[in-house]
Amino acid sequence: MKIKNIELNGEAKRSNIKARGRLRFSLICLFFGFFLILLKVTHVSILHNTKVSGIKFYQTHNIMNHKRADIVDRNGELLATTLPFYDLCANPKLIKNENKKILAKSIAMVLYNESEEKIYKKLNNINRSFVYLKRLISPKEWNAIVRLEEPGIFRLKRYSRHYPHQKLASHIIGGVNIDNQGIIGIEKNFDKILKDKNFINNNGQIQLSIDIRIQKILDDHLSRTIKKHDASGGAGIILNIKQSEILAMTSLPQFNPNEIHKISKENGFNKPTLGVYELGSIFKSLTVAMALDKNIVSENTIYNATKPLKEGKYIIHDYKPQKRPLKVSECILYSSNICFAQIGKDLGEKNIKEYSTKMKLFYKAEIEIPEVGKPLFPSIWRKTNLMTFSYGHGIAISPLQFVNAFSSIINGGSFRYATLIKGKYLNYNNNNDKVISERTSHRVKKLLREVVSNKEGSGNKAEVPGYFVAGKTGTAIKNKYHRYEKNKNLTSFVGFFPSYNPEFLIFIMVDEPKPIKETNNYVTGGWVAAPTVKKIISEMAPKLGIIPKEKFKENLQKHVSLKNN
Amino acid sequence: MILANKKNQTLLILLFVFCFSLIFVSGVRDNLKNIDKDLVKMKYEIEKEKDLIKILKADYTNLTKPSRIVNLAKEKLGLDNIKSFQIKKLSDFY
Repeated sequence: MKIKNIELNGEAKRSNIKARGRLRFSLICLFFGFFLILLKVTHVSILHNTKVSGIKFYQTHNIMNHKRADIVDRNGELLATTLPFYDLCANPKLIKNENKKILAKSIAMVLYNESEEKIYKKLNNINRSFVYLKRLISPKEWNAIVRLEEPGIFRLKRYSRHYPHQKLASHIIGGVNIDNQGIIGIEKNFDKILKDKNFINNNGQIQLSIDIRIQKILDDHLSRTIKKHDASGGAGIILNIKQSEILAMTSLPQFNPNEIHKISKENGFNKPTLGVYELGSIFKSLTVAMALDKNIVSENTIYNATKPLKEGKYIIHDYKPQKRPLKVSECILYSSNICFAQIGKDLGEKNIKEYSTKMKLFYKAEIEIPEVGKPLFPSIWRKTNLMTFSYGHGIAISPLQFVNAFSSIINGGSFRYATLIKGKYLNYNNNNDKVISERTSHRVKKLLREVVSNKEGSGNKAEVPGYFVAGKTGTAIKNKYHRYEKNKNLTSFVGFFPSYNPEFLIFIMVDEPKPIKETNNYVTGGWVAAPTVKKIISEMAPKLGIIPKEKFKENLQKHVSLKNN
Repeated sequence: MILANKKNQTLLILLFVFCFSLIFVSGVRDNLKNIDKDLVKMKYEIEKEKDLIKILKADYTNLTKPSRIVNLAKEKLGLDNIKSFQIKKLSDFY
């Protein structure tokens, strides 16, 4: 059928134009609507709008914000993780059971350690639509609650931090508050990374340099020493010298990060990093390294130690006076304050400042936790300051600062900060941070080996056969409010092994040990801290698979003969 | 009369195509919603499994923590810490 074009005139033409216009307009509207829907579909399918996914996705998303990545030790052992927990809640307005007393009694019977009265008060509070009945309920408790068939009682899921090793390494790992925000230690320092969604989704975890087995050994032996001497506290650091990685670090007393609300000023204080102390004679190892490196003394240089040294109004004594001239090697062996005061004077302000700067004694230590103490040192260096500095008085630094400095004088002479992160220095070249020469470092190691191996050495109680332990003892009189308290000591020992090629450094500090019969009432580093280091090395070395360099058959024979006897 | 015009015919066809695509798009959208729901469910299940794995890991850590192992070894097996002389290279025996 052929349709002819009909020409319209007048009224018909006008209405035709109007109709066409309307049709076009409606089609444009429809196309526009179609375009909008198309845009929306693209948005939903490609860009994945979360709103479409509904409440569940919102919940998942929201819960993610409370999750934190795990923290593990150098062997992958779990130190901190986030686990789901359930809280028992109620909406008093929705409770159907008319006898709330009976309901409260039934709930109290199910929940451990919750009083019936408290629960009844909460259930009876009709003005509120949400109350917590108990935080953290077990699945067993929840199953019993479900059996009560009360719709007004429900449970809420939340994610909370869990520390399986409890108090162990708590000052390193730190803790989080109720909102899962890091407030101490690694948790605080790496808060952003630990909460990062991408990091969590990619199974990211922070691997620390600490070894929880070594941490346990350090904790056990130090707490035994503290208990034995009724000391007020203590601190310890074990360092892998080659990698500058901290294997264990403790501060006693310590807190349980699972119960962070119970933390106190005393157990929350991180002694090895935040506390600054006058460390006493262990400082002599640094002084002798400075003096040997500057060629101011040699091992055979003789100093007069026949009588106490008088300088102005001060008199410097020796703890065990030898009352004779001593070689430098003997000065360190007997830990003579008289000798070292003279060495300090000979070193002079310029040299002491130069080396102290290189050893970073005047600066805060750098470490991956925020609790770091600022050192205290004299603003004006008088002669007495130089003398007291040489044997560790008149300057207060943190044990960590000391460990950093000490490590630099025995590792061949290079300084680098100890770290808590595994593998931080894998591709690190530290030739630029030279503190002393390699030759001086070798000479210092020899002198410090003598302190432990020689029967007259102040640190002979740290000797472990086959491991060539070297080190230095320290006994400092405590300074409180600018006054020295003669009866309050801070005893310490810094040791390393094997002395010819140091791999591990152990620092122990015991705060205010009391005299006991077993140690002939001595409360010195040699009697308190050195035996602790011996016990630690004896237990940790076999665990790390370190073979003692002694003839096996001789030892075996000794052991067999002892057993036979 | 309007249909007699070719342009109008095309517009009408387009209208049909539009309606059809509208039905198709709504179908796709429904499908997408279902897939999305499944995805959310799966994500939820994955999260649940991950939580379970974490709980198991924490339990395992609790069971194998050094203090517990040391105590168990002492109590049940009468074992003590290794002495340094007990560790030797094989060559030391010859």
